[in-house]
Amino acid sequence: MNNEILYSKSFGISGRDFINAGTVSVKIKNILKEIGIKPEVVYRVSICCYEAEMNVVMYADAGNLDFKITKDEIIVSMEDKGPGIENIELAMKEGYSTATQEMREMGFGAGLGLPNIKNNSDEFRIESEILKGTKLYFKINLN
Amino acid sequence: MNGNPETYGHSVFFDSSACIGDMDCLKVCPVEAIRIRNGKAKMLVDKCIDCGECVKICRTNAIVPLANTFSDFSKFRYTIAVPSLALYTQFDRNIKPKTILSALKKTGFDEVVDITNACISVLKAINKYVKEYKGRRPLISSLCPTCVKIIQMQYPELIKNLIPVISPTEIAAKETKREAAARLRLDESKIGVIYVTPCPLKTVMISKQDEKYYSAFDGSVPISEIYNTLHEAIHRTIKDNEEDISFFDICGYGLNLARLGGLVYALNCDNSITVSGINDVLYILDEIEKGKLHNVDLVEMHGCTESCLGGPLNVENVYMARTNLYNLLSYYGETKMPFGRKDKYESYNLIYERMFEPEPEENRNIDIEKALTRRSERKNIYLSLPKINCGACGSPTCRTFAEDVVDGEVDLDNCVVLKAKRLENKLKEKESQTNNE
Repeated sequence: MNNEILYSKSFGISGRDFINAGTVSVKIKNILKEIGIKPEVVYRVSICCYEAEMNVVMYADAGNLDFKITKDEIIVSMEDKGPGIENIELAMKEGYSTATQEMREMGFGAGLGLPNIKNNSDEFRIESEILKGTKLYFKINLN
Repeated sequence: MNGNPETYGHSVFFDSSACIGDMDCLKVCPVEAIRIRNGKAKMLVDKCIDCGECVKICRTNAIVPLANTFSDFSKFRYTIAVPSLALYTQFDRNIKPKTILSALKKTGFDEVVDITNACISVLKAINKYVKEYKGRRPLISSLCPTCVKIIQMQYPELIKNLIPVISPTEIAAKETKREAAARLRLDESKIGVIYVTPCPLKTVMISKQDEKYYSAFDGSVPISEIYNTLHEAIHRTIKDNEEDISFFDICGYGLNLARLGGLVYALNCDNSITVSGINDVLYILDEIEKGKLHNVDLVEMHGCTESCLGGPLNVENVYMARTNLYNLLSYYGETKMPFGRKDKYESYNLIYERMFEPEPEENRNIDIEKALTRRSERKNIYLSLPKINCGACGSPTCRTFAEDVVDGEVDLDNCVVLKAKRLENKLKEKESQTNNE
């Protein structure tokens, strides 16, 4: 497998910025469409990036999303500064959410975010440190 | 015109002999699917979403909707016309649906079917689906085929949000055909069900059925094509006072589905929005994609302004048609959704899971390195362009022009601004040379 990085771009995400929420994943989607990536792959990448982005917007202070394309895959790593996740196993369960009432009223916090990333990616890793932040890493195969 | 290669399998026909190469269609196309080449408009087949905006704007009638003609239907032993609700709004306010339907029958159909009852059944099914839905919001109405097509082509992640309920016209067509076949002891293939439609996309969908898309219709006639004949028949019907009207059982409330916001109104769904017009639809789809409308239950979406009343194949202007519709609604005076009303299609399954599938252009594996090189080439060319989107090159924007250059479709020389600059520089060079001498 050729792991040479052919394209990479980094995006900053601000926590609790609901005005710009979702724009990073739309930007990524547009880049992929411009390149001519298969719609099915674009779909999976944008779902994963959207969930990752919204997690930062809802829970963290700030985050950074690194987006890379190699010959065979799309690699996304996300790092945020925030409260971290207390129980990762629980957070990976569908329907589990620590969203506040306010967030739920905005239509978020269905507890599907992390499981959604896992289900739509080909490789998924998560690390978290309480009061420091969370690191996500996922890969999606191009073909 | 049927099957003409210039239709490219789409709902419109580009008549190059009538095209004067102005840029109206180029500028209005919401998905940048038109180019002007050698002074004539040309369609990019893979990009067109059949919204009909170009048909509406073309002043020289060079972009013509594809239509079946009456003679195409002669292969059927029995023909049934199913008109869109929009047909009821195309005539004088005093002309009621029953008159229109009986006149339509006189224009040469064996049977004519009203869909207002099917509308009620569909409304009930949608109501049930919306009430029981637990997934990601907002739900998006699937009544407009253009909106569905845009989602399938450009927003496949929103397919799950579409309400998978069959359209009233389809269920009416399917059942009428089945009933007629049983009654007349005819094979279904001998019965032609024809849609009288304001919608160019529906026309092409019906003519292009395949394993991915099935329609109960066997053909379609644009309202504009049948208008004159029908108009005459209506006046004959009124004059002869021989309306065979008892046959038609019209449910006035069903007419709500013809108006913009009618779905939301009928379902009494206050946490919802209604959007119409292709550019607004694209804008709202972007917003949904960004997660901005997560707290909305239902988005009613129509590609044409004022929903189907604004369809390009209508004759009456959209505002007059709206007034006519409102008059009809108050004429029938049904102000509450008739939940209790006996429902003709109640026992049918109107909800289909996996009703909509993504529509990828082509499932090809791309060479990522080449694709990235092309992308940076496009970017470099774009940066050298004036970025004024004048369209004189025949591409709608400087960005699309850069794409067309990289794709080898056009030469960079087609940019008149760059060309003028180059000539200017040459002139200056010459001047300075002569000055030096």
